Amino acid sequence: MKQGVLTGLALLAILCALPLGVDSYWLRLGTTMLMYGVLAMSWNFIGGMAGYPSFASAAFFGLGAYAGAVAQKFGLSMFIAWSLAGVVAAMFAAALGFALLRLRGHYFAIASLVVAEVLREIVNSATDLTGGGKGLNLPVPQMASIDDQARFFYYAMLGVAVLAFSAVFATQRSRLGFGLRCIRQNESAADMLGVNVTLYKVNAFILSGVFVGIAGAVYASWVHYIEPPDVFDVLYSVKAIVMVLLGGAGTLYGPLVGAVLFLSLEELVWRNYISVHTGMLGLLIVLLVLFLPKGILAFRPGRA
Amino acid sequence: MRGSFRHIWAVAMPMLLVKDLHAGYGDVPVLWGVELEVDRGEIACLVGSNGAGKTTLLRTLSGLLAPKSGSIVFDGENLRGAEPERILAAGIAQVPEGRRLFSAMSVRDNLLMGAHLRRDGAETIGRDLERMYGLFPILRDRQNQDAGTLSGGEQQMCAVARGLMSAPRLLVIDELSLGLAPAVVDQLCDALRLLNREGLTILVVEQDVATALELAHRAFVMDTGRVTRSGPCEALRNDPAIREAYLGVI
Repeated sequence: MKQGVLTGLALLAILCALPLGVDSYWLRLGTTMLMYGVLAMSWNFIGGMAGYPSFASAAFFGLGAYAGAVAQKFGLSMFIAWSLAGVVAAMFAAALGFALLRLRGHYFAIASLVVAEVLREIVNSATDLTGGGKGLNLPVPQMASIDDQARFFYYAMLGVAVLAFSAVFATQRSRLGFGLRCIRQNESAADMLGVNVTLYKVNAFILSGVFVGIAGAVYASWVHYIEPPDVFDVLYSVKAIVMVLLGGAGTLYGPLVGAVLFLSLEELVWRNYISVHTGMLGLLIVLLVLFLPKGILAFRPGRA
Repeated sequence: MRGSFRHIWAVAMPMLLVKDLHAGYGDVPVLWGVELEVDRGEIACLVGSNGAGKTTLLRTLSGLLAPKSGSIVFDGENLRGAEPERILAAGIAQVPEGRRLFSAMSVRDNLLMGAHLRRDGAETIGRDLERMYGLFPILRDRQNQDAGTLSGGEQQMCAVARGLMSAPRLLVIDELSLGLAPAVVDQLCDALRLLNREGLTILVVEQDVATALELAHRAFVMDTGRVTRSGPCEALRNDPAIREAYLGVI
């Protein structure tokens, strides 16, 4: 426990120091890594702990991005818009959870997959509010230099990541985390023992949505311009799952390890072999399922 | 007048009273008016062949399946259509068929999960945990082991102990002996008799009619969704029809 806290603080110190003395390429990569980390840690709540294979990350991400963007369009300040995006994503997750979490396994996966598509169509057609297919421009924060701006968004994303990490940390030690592990292993037995499975699953789903929603809003401000196919991209859902599986589902550090590894792979392949990029993702998924079903962290020494 | 009537009611009524219970899955009815009663302090058993509706009845009793009509009254409280959480809180714990343990969790955590709804403090729960280890000493030796690594018999002990950890007044066990070695079944039956002597009411569902009739005081025989016969186990053991249909002797 104590060692865990120390590891976490050391990691945080490194992440805080990272922007010092790197160029904007690495800064962009670092911000993306933190964003991926948020996606992975969030998926871990519903997919890793509760065992529900959700493909709704892209829906939360896009919803957060548009909630933040529209809020700023109406003149709200950036930070308030980001918080609002979190609230909207959480409320959406709660409502969606009560409807979708009645399904299990493949059925749940497919149902959660279409949510992003539905939202994308809605955003596409609500042209007055969202600009529709033309996309939406966001106000550019006024800062001394482009580098300052890049650093600002790095730290903003780091803030979201720290929030998400703290939530994972707290949940794993709580009644909720214990109950979710029971649900993953045997839902009907958990139900029979008096675990309020619906409530627990909805809570996990909300936790899997809220930070992704905030990250979406931060991303929107960071890139200044969003359009539906960009922020409702199904790859956000797929990547989140791959990262968690790569690192180790249901663990504290697994999603982070997975995010770093995945981004490194993605960047290398993307830079050098852009035409086979998606094929590479597919290959990675196949290899993971075949050889690493428990993730990299399963190789950690001394693991019970 | 009314008060004294309710008093007599509470004393005279069985602990669990199921009346004219109908339930099923979708449009398919499985239970066709089940009548069942379990008295305080007894071991009752429910026997019947495959597909008779035993497990469906238990799923209805534990709240996993909503009944279509009829009543389930436990200690004067109407539990028809109640959530599993409320039924457990009322004092009915279930040991599900096939154990349903949390296989990647330690034996100790499995037992503690049984006490999930209890709010009477870590000390009492710790005492009950010790009681379980006293009842099934092998669980103490295996307490830090994943439940999935236990043998079938040990898993059944763990499942029974997990059910007991909710401090129930009625323990319902589905398929106590299924797939277990006879020696283990004997051991489990001894433990249940001991618990019963200490005041626990037990309802056992069994496919092995001989074992059930030996363990219980009263038996209910189910066939095609109804209770077709009931009475003291001794009487049923000597009933020619039962002997022929379930015990394989004429």
